[in-house]
Amino acid sequence: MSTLRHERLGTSVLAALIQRAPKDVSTLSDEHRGALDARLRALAGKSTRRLDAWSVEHAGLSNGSFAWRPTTARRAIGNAALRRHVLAPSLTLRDCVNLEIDDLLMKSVTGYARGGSLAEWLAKSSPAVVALATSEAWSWANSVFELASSSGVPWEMAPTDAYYDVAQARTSLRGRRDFLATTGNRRVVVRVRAGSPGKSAGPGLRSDLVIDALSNSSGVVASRFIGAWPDAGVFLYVDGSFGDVRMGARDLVRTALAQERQQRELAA
Amino acid sequence: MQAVDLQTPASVLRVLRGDPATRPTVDRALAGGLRAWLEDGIYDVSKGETRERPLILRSNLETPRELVSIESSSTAQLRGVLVSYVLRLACAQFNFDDPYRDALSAWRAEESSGTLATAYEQLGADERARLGADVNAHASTLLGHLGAVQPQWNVRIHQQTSQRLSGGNVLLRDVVDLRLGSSATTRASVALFDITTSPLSARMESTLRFHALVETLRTNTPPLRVATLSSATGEFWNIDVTPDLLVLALDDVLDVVEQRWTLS
Repeated sequence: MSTLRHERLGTSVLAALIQRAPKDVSTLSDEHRGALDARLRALAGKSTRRLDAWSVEHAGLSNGSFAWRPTTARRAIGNAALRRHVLAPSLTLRDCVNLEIDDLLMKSVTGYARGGSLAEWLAKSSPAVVALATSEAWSWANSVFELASSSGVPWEMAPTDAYYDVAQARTSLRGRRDFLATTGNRRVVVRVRAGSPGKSAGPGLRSDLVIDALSNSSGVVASRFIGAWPDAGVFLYVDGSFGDVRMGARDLVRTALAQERQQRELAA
Repeated sequence: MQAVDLQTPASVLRVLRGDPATRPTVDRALAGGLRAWLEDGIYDVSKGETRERPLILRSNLETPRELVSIESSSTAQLRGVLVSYVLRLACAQFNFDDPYRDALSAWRAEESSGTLATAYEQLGADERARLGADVNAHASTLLGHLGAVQPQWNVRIHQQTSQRLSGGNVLLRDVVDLRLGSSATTRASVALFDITTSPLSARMESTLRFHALVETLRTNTPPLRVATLSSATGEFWNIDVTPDLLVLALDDVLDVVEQRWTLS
């Protein structure tokens, strides 16, 4: 039985969702990790695969060829600017976005940007494109900041997205997470997405819950994982129960299986 | 009917923000009532039927047929898109060299394919030159009246929102060029602003009402005001959002749902 629930956006809704998160915290054991790893290893193909909420929601379909654009860059720059703003609140969010862009451009100028990276794309872009990326990132940062501040509880930006590599399965898992609210041993993770949730947003959210737990060195599962879609005014959330973790893990395995089948069909 | 301010101020954004001391307190119960009213109205039309595909309503609820051919011409659309990019760049305090070239560069980085991109590719040199001159003229009006964007205004550009009603049978979709303010404050502070390259007409009033309704349903917080600037004529409409205005918007939506439920 899934704990997936839905709430409409409202000023006190996020605060209530965070404060009423379950007090019991689940922990993944080595046995749990081993079981998932073994299933993914059994489906290992010749090429490497990456599983994330998007691929789970789209039955293993590939995300297509990724290209940097102002809208694909906004979350990376906007979240980095928010992390900077949390550390130095005297700086405005717009200052922080500008500083992040300056840092990325500097990285490219000094030769530290690798090919295909955000820094390299920005450095090769026209001033107008850099300005649009700035506007988009500022807009994103304002949106996340308004949401996080409305929670009324102490929060921090997630240092990175969640990553977990499955040894000998040529599989890496990537989970999105934007900000966290931690009280005692309870950790509530909030993931913000543009647009509106589709019919498979629930499985996507559960897969992010599992990947977040796997990436935690102690295997501690978030007591609640909240998906926020501010554009649609909607929250979806799942609790970190073993039932949901199990369902999330199954969704990841199913997605790996679907990808494996698609690759076999392409090869045939 | 709401009063509209027809005088174009020196700083449109300053007018949108207004005087913080005179802002009304947010009525958070209003959104729930409006939603229930909409749901009941849609149920009266649908009689509980479920649609295979949702009925999608956008801000141009009723576009008169005679305007369709003019407004949907690809050159007019390109002009509209490029002027909206000028606004997005202005929010980043961009120093324009040639607004047309700058907006074009930004737009092509974001949208390298699609119908409009193809339409642009098919334009001849003369048509491109005319488009450039046209966009620069509109940009001059916009940049001359916009004013400076302050960092504390909680800016969102090109806000694309949606609201599902009647279990997904009706979908309200909206795009607002610029949103200022926060819905988390006790006094209303959110201002929604659109730039249009067409002259303002009565139709624009229902568009602005639609923006206010979707924002109210989405955030459970009615915005402070909605406004639009015509870069063609320099006209500026600035409307304070009141419960009456939201009820008018709700009536607009229900009228269109009734007209289109069986047609599409």
